Amino acid sequence: MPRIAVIDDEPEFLDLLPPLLAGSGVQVDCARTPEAFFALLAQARYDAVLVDFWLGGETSLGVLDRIAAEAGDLPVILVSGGGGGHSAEMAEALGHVSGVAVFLHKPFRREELLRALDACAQP
Amino acid sequence: MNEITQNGFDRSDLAVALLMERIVRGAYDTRQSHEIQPLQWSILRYLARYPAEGRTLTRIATYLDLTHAPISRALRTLRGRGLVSTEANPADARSSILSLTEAGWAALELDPIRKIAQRVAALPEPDRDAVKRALRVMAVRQDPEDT
Repeated sequence: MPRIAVIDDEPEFLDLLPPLLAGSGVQVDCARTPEAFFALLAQARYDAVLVDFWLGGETSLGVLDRIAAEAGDLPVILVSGGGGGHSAEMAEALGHVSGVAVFLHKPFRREELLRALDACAQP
Repeated sequence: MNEITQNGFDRSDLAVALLMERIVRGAYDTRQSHEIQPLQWSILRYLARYPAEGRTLTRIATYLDLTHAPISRALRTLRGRGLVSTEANPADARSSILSLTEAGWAALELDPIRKIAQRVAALPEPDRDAVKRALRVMAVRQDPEDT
């Protein structure tokens, strides 16, 4: 069963993810902070991690760097709805410069997320 | 000698800015580029990358962090040039699905940022990584005058 982690400081988003993926066979672990995610990563193997572009009022680019350094082969799906002076177009470009596998524009549908997970599973 | 001005940058920093400006301006300096404005290029790129359910005026506006009005104007121009087509949205009768036409896909082959991407791709790997790192920092840094 594919297993993914999600890092987002918005509890509403974290609450939405498990029901969104219900019945898909994907197991979801949620983390409200990068530290919580890295604690999960020390104990489990993930097929992908969803990271919000904004975490705690800052961009998540530093978190992406840490994921690349500590789990270089873990595919990252970056998500953003824009805001904070950076459009989603800008967030997508910053994500790809930082090596993310897929970008998703919030709000996204179940099918888009499943397609993104499929893309992450490709060798 | 490069003297730091009261603005906090020296002559070489200004030279870097000038070279960046020349590279970007040079990429847009073609007939096709003049006919299609930067916002219109952003819309064409979006339509090429996103699936049908996301190709609505509202989604494009939120993606580019703009209001509906400029997107609507740009789409009118792109439709007028035969680069974008519209069809009914089966999921929402109030909106339409936008798509690139064959001419739209052909126009994207001449997207000016491809020229810049080719210049980046031609760099040796360490320089390519250095450019990406530097631009990432520059793009995220807020201009003090904007905050």
